[in-house]
Amino acid sequence: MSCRVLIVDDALFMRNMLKDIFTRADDFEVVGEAQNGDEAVERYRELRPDLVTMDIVMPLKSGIEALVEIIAEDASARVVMCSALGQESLIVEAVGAGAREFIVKPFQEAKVLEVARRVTVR
Amino acid sequence: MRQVLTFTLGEELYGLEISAIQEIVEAPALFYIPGADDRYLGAINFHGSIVPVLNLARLLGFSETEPEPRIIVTCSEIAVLGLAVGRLGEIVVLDEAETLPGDADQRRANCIGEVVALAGRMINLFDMPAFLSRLEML
Amino acid sequence: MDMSKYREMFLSETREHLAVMARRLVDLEKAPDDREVIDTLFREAHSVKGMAASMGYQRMAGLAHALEDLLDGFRGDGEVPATAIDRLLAGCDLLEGLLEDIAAERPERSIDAFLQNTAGEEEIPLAEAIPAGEEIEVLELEPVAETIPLELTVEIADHAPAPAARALLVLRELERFGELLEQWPSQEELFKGGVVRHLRVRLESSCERSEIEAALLAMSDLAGVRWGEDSEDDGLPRRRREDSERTVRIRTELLDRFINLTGELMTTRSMLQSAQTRRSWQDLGEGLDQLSLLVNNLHHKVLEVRMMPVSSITGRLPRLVRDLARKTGKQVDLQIHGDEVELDRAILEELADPLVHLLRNAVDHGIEGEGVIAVRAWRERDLVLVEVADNGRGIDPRQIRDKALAKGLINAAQARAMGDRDLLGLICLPGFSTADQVTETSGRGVGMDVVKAAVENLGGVLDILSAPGEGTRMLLKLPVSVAIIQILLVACAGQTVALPITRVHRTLEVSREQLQSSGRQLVLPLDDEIIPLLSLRKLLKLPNRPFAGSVPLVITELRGRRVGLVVDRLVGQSQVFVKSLSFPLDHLPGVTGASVLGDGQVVFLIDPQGLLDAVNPVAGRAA
Repeated sequence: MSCRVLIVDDALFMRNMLKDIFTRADDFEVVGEAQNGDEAVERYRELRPDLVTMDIVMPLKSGIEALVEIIAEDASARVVMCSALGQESLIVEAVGAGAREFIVKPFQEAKVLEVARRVTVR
Repeated sequence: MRQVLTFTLGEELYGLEISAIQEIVEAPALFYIPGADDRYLGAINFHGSIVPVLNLARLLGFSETEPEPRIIVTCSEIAVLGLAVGRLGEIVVLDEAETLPGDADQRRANCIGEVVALAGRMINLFDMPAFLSRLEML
Repeated sequence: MDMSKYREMFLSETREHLAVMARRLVDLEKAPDDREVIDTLFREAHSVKGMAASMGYQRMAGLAHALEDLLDGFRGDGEVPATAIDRLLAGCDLLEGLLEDIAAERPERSIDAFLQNTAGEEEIPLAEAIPAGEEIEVLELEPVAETIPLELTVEIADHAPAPAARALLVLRELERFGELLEQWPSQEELFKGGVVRHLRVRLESSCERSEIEAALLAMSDLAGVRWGEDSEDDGLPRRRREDSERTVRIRTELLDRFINLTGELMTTRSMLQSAQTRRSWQDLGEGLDQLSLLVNNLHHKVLEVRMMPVSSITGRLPRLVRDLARKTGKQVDLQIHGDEVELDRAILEELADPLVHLLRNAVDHGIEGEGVIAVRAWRERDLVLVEVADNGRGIDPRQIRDKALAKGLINAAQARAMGDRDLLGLICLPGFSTADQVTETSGRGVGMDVVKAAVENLGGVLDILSAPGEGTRMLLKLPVSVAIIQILLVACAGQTVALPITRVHRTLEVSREQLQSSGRQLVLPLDDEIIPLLSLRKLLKLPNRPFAGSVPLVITELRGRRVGLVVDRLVGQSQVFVKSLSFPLDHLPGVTGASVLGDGQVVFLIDPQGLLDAVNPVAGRAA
């Protein structure tokens, strides 16, 4: 059975890029997208995906705030943070808040899949 | 609503999502970057921060054109870059555009995300993440 | 009452007290009957006890109390026996361990073993050392461990983004296999972010090593896993790093001055505004003058906040030297002068490890049997000089030359051209020293490349002065602050670049006739040396031009060798704020930073060595 993914990013091209990556791989299925933290929490509730890729910097509600809310509702949530270079302190904060992994832009397809697979194995 | 700023590189028409653009700077003073090759036009003083300006045509292997003096400053989280392009065009809305099929890998190699047709024109949508990956390799 | 807000203050103050104790104990060892030293130690232990007790750290309070009692016993009867000093040193180490535990928010480690020993060997009855009340907590027995704790070091890859976050994920992964007993850096440290290269962990686990290793190696950005206790050989500097505090204490007087300055700035702003409305050039001019005065003043005050005395990193040196001397069976007298001199805290933090390296080298290779090592700090204009000098056997440049030749680091022609100074500089080449030569005089280069790189990264210079039988002086010339530095602006083919002034030995203009050729290389006889010339145009890949008339030169150092950089024009000096470069500019070789000058012009700072390596990697090695 393929792994259900929710992609959260405010930039359309980032979402599309991740979607392409997951769609090309057989073992993933993108079940939803969100473009801000509020939407992310809402869609998580509704879809209960196996994996969330979460951009850190987003309007309205940041990725970290969304992460905290999601973890509060579902401690087993598997959230991988997506971030840019130079956001080390935010990444650290996210890991402290329960993010399972992080990947840094620019994304490499193989790396994204490797991380996603490792996180969803358990 | 999906909006892109169009510009030319060689004979091609490109489009860059306006959400990726911070500012268009009119003919800023370009300062010398030691040891950088001609893919860099120089650095600008962008509101006090130091931003490199890249000659996009050179970087993507288009035949020599004199780039336009106006510089696009991007607002990527990864790196703030100045992009010098052939000629700046208008901002267009892509809602009516039709996505054209093509070889994704080959496009990615040219930093093109997708190709759309709009009112009889073909626009290559600039793929910022691919471009940044490419810069990493420089 | 919520004590957590006092925690940081408690940690930093206790650290200071422990540093004083460590230092005074070494003094005590030299003069075991010095009443004043005994009194100081007693007071320090007493302070630690009081602070720890009010914070509720029972074990630390109990241990400090025991040390206090032990010291009190000697206040009356003069001399402290050597065994007692060892005991006190061990007690101090244990206090530091407890402080680490508290800093990492772990339960305090057990002090039972120590206390029982004290009781046995020092004939101080336990009941007296520990008054009732504190006893119960202190004497509580640790549960016996059923499994042997595993020790491992996880190396994080050099290029890894957000290494601190990666380390946190490693810890979380390890928690799946058992209980984390101890780790370095602490979680708290990791949550502050920053660069982490190694993570050391003690783990209680019933799982197989291979199983744990496989799980770790599946993670991204890890370079490797090592098992077993890390070589404790250079344990000291690491422990010190953990100690380093991120909070700054500011004198209220300084804060008051900030407030006053802010007030004056606001006044000046209104003055400028009114000058603008009235279009009064004179008032505008005066306002601007006042503004620049205030900005200068503010700048100095802000720098002051970042300044810390050199003593913040020399505090542990007496203990280090004592331990090293004991290990090598040598008698070493360490003297520290000028440790009240202040430097930017960022520089001090980077300096701590190199200083330990230098002292280690001085004890291991400099001192023969018995000798003196002096650490001195003083200020000269914009620089702070830190020197580690020993009166040991010194370094023989001929021996260095032979070894460098044998190792192929230089060729015969180069060897002939090198003066003693150049030869001494060779010990800083990576690969000059190897483990099997550590004990020879010429094997002094243990970690010298690391020391030199650290000093140069700070915009400083390392000078080595030595002669056989005349001891060795390692002189570190450092900028007072990292961010604001003095630069030399030079022009080439119409382009301007900058060099940090600390990298410039001097500038001069010579006539074409003074230059000589040596093969295809232009050289300049200067002082009693022949120095090779390099064209900055060539390094920057700018169009060449023949020399004519007078030739402006910048004398700098490349790989320990003086060279002359030929430029078109010496533009001048300036004091600037250096910005670090972000992607993709940080990928450019030989470009180390950039600055916006007063007129809005952007100039880049260059590192000639980096440029040379990029232009000609092979020649760069041999230069």
